[in-house]
Amino acid sequence: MGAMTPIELERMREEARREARLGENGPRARIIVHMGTCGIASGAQKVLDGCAREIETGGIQGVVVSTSGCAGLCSREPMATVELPGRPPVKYAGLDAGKMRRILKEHVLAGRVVEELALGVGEERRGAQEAGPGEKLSGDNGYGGLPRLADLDFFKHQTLIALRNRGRIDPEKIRDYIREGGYRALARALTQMTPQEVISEVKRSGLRGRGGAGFTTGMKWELCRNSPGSEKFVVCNGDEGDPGAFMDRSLLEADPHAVLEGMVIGAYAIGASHGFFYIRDEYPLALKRVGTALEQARETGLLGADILGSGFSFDAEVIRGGGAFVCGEETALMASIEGLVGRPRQRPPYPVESGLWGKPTTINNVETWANVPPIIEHGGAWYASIGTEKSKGTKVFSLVGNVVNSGLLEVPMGIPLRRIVYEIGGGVREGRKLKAVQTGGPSGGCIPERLLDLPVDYERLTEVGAIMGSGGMIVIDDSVCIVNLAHYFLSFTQSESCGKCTPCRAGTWQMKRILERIMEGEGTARDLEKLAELAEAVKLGSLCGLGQTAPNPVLSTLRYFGDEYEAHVRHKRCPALVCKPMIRFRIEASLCNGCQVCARQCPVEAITGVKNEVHYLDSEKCTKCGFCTAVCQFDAVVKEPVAAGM
Amino acid sequence: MEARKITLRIDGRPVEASAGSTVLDAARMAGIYIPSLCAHRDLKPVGACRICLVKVGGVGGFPPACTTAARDGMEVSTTDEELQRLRREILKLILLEHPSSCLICVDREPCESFRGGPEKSGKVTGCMFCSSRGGCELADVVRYVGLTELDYPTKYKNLPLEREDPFYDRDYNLCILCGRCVRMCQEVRGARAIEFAGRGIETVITPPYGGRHVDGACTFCGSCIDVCPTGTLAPRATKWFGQPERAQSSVCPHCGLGCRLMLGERRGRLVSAKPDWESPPTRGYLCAKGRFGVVELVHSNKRRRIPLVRKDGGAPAEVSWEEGTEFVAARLAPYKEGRFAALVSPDSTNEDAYVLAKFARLVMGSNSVVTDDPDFVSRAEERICERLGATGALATVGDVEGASTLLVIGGDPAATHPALEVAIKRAADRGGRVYIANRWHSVTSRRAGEKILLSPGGQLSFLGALVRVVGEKRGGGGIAGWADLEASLSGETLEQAARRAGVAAQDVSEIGDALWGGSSVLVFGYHLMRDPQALDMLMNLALLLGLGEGGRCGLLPLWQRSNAVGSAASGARPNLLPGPALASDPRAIAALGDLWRGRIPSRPGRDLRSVVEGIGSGEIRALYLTGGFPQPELLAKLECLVLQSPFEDGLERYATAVFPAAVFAEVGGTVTNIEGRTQELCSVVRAPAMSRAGWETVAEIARRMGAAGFEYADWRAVSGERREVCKTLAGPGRAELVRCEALAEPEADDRLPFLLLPPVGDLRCYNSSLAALVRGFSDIYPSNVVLLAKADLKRLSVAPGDRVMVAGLNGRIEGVAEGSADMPSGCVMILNAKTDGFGLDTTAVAVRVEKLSETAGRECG
Repeated sequence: MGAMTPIELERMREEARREARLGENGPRARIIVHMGTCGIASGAQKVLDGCAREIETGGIQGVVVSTSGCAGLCSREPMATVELPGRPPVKYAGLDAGKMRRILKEHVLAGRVVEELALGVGEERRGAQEAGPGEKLSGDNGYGGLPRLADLDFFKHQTLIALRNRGRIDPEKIRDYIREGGYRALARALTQMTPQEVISEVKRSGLRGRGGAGFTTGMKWELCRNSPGSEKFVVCNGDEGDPGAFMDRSLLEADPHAVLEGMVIGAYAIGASHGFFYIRDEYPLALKRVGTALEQARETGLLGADILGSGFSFDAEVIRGGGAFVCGEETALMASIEGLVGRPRQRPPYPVESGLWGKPTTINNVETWANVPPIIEHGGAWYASIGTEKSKGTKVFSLVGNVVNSGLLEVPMGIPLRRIVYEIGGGVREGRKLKAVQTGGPSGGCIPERLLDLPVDYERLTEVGAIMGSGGMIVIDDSVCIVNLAHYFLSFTQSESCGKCTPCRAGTWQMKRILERIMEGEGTARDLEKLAELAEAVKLGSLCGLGQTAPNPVLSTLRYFGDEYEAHVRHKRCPALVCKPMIRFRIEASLCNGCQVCARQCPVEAITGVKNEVHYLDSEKCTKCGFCTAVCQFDAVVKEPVAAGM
Repeated sequence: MEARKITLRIDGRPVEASAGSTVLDAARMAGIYIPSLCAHRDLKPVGACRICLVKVGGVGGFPPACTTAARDGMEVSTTDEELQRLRREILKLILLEHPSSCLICVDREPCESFRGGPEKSGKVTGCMFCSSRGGCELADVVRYVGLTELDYPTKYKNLPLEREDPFYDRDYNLCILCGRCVRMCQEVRGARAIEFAGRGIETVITPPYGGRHVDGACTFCGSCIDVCPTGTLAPRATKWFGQPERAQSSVCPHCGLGCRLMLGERRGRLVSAKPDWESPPTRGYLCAKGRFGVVELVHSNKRRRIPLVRKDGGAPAEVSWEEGTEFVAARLAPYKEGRFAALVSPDSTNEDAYVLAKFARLVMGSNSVVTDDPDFVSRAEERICERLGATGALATVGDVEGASTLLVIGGDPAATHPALEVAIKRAADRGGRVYIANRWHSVTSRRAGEKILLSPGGQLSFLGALVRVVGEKRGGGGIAGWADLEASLSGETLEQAARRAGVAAQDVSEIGDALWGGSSVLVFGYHLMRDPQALDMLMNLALLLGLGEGGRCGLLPLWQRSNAVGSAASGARPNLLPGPALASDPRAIAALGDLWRGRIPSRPGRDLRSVVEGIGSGEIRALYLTGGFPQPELLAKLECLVLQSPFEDGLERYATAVFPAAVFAEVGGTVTNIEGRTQELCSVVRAPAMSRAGWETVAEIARRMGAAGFEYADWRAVSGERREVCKTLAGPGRAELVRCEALAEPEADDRLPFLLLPPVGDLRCYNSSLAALVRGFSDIYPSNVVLLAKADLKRLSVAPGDRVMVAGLNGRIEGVAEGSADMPSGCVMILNAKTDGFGLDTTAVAVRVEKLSETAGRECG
């Protein structure tokens, strides 16, 4: 192929759009199976295979089957989208191979939507709304009473900027990305803007680092650009490690070119010649897709020497991380890229002054990079019009825990937490009571129910003792013991502490021991004081962000749930009935019908009883494993508090 | 370049520091104590222990003093209440992983005064039972912070004491993970033998895959022990001897580098040998031999104690020293001139070597004064003296560190002079070019620099090619002999010469450019000295590079024995007089005669091989032996053998008289290292029983034989006379370029398909071997290891660990095969073996290698 130029790129885009058009000379229908890791895990591969087999054996012509990344509503996977010529797409959820066959027969071939499987119709709302298929919804779309997708609770509050191509493109095809406007921003930056103008635009947007710390991206780029040195590097930090967080994985899996395009623009602004995607090895699909994206970008002339005839040369490579949480810390990440043990080092010097191999280096999170192309395309002012005073644009969250709709969402900054949990998330599962929302992973904190009207904003979250973090959001209901939760996060940071500095290595261990004593019912009032003192020492004394934030889950729960700690320490009671030494199991005679299910399940034969008669649970034998409660259909096995040691 | 000065205030006190230093450096320079555990002078700061946290005006949080750059006008607080509270918390966390009951015990002082010394316990459970008691940095920090109570339970890890390796005991239950050992091993020594493993509280320091150090990359240099701030790492042999009552700096006797050691003495016994961090040549860096091969050597149970004489074929009898010297004086008298030879150990002090050489020449009338080193060594010494003069324009270790280009050729400092490796690595770390050229891939080249693999005979061609490159740049300017040398080299193109050396012509040009472009040091070992033509060419190169012209180029010959340079300058060589001066120089002979007021024999002395032959043929009938001897059974032919050495070596059965000799830690004296630095030894402990300094015995015998000029009050008198004599005799070299003709190289053929390369180093020490004297050295230097390229092993169907025989025309030896990436195909090297029989005075001999069957191995072995 000839040299890639901006004009050639536009020609390619037109061609891709023409190819994608349904009807007339094109295909008569398109089925997109959403194949993020979440989709695959719930069976999307079977759906896809079944669909392909049906088309083959039925000799069906003119139906295109393609895939995309995660469609957002992970709890309703597998999902697929069906599109017929001249009609808006219909999204289906909760599929299996059989249901897919039915959709194929009824909807694709006969044009009759399968209403009971359909989620909604039309497109999601994109941050930079263009005239698109969504507009066609106004008139009669032929899909009768199906709700618009953009009106559904889960989708209606979302604004897609980083996730702008969600569900619409095949992540392994660069032409799909280009079709949707991809690399237009790059062309603009390289041919119409100076590096300084790019930086100014990013500064104007107010974009802040999406990895958690929230440093102003444009400022970081400027510092790096002004740092002396002929060789500079850019890095995409894809070492996502917070428990329950999957924003970066989904983004890399679903739209690797969006991240790459942002990185190339950033490299141009900074003057970097080489980039690294540092992605943990536990993300095989992300690794594969980024690798493919790099290859395709290289083949297309969007990576390598003299990109788009601008004279700017840049290439990037993928580095597989070994899965250490601490390698998400930028200095540890750099050590890992250099082939050393992934341990952080003291800053300053910051990477923008002395980074990889001592050269100025800019490290940005996956989501940060993905936000760059829309900012260049639509302008910093447009981006800054979304969000709050100090937190601009949107933020991607992975909403998990005891919530009805778990999945990936992108919302404008400033949205109240309550709306995320109750409207987007659909509230707490099983009708339980909400206790707290945990944000920011092991570095973050728990926000209690009463503060739920808090707008999501870097500063406001920090004020209440939590952090924005990279976007993990865990909904916690009243079945969770807060001490146990703090212990969970502390165990995580303790085992992921690199072991280099004393406060983090030994301090988190000591804090964990104190929590264990409290959970065993052996805690004292002095322990609570010690816990707070230690937390302070670890916070102030640790070398890197991991240690400095490791006490946050303890500090924030002490702050908001002090009474629950008190209950453990003073009354030896676990209000959530989780800490085993403080509870016992008992069979409620009035509810037990003697079905013997619990007796059969009990691994230690602590439950005895004749069929159809009330059973007896021997507390001496009971190990409090909880199998009986889980299997009892009649809620006859109850947990009740007991003072520890009794 | 003088660094810019800045001024900051620490705790309100103005402190001056040089720009680029850290807050901790600045505080230390000003004598302000900031507790620190992970920082070390020679290591990059990491800020791991967090005990040195300070407050800096205008900066949030508590930055560590060790990683924070000092800035002009900075306000630093080290003692404020908030800081002390944080520091106390952090110290408690440090002690969490360190058995600490004694550290904070209120009864500590009475307890310490009650217990005399450390107890020998397996695992240390408190300071009272710790080998670093009295010298513990952690205890200092606890004292400073004033911690008297621990309100947390501690975490005793209950790890097994690691004793599988020689020399070290490692008790990681005491480890506070400051990481000094790891950084020392990686940053300074370049061995990378240990690393952190695991995470969180499970973090440990370990060799690869938790194995033994002997199977890993550890060289047992001991630097990890020397920087450990706790008792985690301890030298096994001396850990329970307690802290020394006094310590003195002396010189290590184990190689030509002459590193300084702090010798600690307690109640008349040597109890420790630690680095002397302040003194050149290596400023605190030692190797296994110096770190672990000193205390046990001095107190070896193989030390000779009482003089012995054998009267008229009878059994040896213990006698007084006076009686012994009287007896020897009488017995030696008949064997003057050609019938007498002296073998001087190159580990002797300058004084010992000088007096024995003087005795041989002046009293016995014989120039046959040899050492137990192979003859190529004394030939090289003579040639260097002849061409470059007595001092040889030597470089120092500091020059190596600061050189912009280093060429290491025909030697492996990592194997022979391990502590020199630190300087070589530093030169590379500082951006210097380091080239390491050998017939094989040396150990040194694993740590730093660029490897250059030379072809057989390639040393001369390689150096010749470099001479051309450098000579052309210089235009030969101002050095006699250039025209002749240039003509001799122009027979072939640079490309041809480079190809013969096995190097790309482009690389030769690059190396030549690098050598010419700045200050250079040429480091060369025995492999180069074995080829006299290559040695000549190296000196040509050095002269062209500006040797002796204001520090542009220096030479560093890797003489292996501890006083090779000094004993040669004492005249303890057949071809050298004190100075050194050439023994063939009539002016020197005359001058020496005047100084000694006697007649210096004019008949040339025999070299070692000729002495051995002379003993065999019966021409030599008396030998004064202070070192080892290559063919011991020949000694039976002597009529008079006087042994004067520190260790029992099995030669007593041939001896007429035996005198126990003192070693380096017992008597005063001087030694001269490969830099030409003359260093004073000190007497830290008494020599055992009736042992005396070698010079005393010889001088006494000389006096009893009626000779004048041997009346010395003490070693300083000898030293003074020697210095005067050397000054008078030492002459300048000719400093001319000479042409060199390639010698015939041994070639492998079908019958003898391999080339046996001479061994790089050995463990000889005085008249014995370190492996025989100190436990552990045979583990880290296993004997008779036959190194072969892995491909060659495969071709021979030999598995690593199989017994093989290496046989040449003149010798054969059995050993255990080992595949080595260091050996090029077609080459063999036998480590730690007696290869004298092969006639390996040259650069290589052709041999064959055969696999031995199990039974054959047993029969022979």
